[in-house]
Amino acid sequence: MPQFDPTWFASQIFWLVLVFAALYWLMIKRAIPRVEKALTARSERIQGDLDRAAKLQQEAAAASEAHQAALAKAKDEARDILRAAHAASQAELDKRQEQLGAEIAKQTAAAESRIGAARDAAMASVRDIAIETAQAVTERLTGAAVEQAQAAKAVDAVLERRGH
Amino acid sequence: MADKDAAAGGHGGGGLDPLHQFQIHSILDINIGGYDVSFTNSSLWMVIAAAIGYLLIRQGAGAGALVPTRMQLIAETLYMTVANMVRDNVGDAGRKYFPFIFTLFMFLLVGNLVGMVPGSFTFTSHIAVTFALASVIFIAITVIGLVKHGLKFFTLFFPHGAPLATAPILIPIELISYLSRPVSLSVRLFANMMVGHTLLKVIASFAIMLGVVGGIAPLALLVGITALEFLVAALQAYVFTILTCIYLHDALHLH
Repeated sequence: MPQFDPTWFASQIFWLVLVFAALYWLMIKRAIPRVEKALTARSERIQGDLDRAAKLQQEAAAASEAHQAALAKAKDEARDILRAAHAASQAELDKRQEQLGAEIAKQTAAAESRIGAARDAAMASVRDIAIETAQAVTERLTGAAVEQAQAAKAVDAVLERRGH
Repeated sequence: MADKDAAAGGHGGGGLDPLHQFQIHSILDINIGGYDVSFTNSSLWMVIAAAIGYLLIRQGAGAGALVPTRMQLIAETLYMTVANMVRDNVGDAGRKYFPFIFTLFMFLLVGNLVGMVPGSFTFTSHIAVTFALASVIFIAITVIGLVKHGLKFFTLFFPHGAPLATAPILIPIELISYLSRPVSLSVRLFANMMVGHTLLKVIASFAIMLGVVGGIAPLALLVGITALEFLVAALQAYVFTILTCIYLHDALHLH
């Protein structure tokens, strides 16, 4: 086998070392840095884009949160205004009702006092009529005239007995 | 019949000799200090392989485009393959050895692949070349381990946690297995490349000897084996490199 012919061992090893060393030098000086540069640039670009996307997403989330907060605040405010308006109208209503109630009460009282006066007056006339009637009935039945004072006394006694 | 003889005779002395392809011949005689360091066909193909390997990476990455061009993708894929190999097998401590391992991989890969070109010379099929490479790697890794761990490096020859009584058996075994690393590393590559190329040549000879009609079967076989040889060429470069990574890992981390 030509592989075990020692004639060329020195040459083989010499050129291997030379060529390999040259290739190694070229690789570390020229080739590898170029590949690394391209790979680093790409990964940095991708990382940068990802970072930017994450930042934008955060901003969007913050904006959404602010929007939600504003919406909630506005809702609260609307509720407060509604409640205040409701309370105001309720107060107005209560006031009017009170006024109306007072007026009605006043009118009722007036009417009642008028009715009372009328009744008293009527009751008084009932007594006079009763006295006259008693005088007249007694005179007709017995033929004797009854004094007005006597008749009044009898009528009063009857009225008293009946609770008037 | 006449054709066959003519074909066989046409190649002169080496005609159908399957080992002729491994013959080294000087292109430029050089003699330094009594040593014959002539520039040979082997040297020529080393230079060609190194040049292709270098230009593939250098020109490929040349564009440095954000979206890689086809050549750039090849260069970057090769780079990433070796970078991942070093990271997975050696760890972060292996980063500074990456340029050497990458150079080794490219040199062997392109060396093996240019050897597939008809009429070329496969320098990786020479034990002198593979053994020299493996020896340098073996010595360098041993020195790296000794520098990093001092005398603790020798615990590499005694598996951690094994009973002390097994030391007389284990230490010689581990020592022999360690010392046989450069041999197995170099013989694996050399033998694979040599056997593959010899086989191709033998089958090609059959195709020529059997003529136009009978030669079809060996020719079909030859096509299949050629495809297999491309696989072996890439695989052996990978195996050589990954074993270097594993040995480096052993030296750096002691199991």
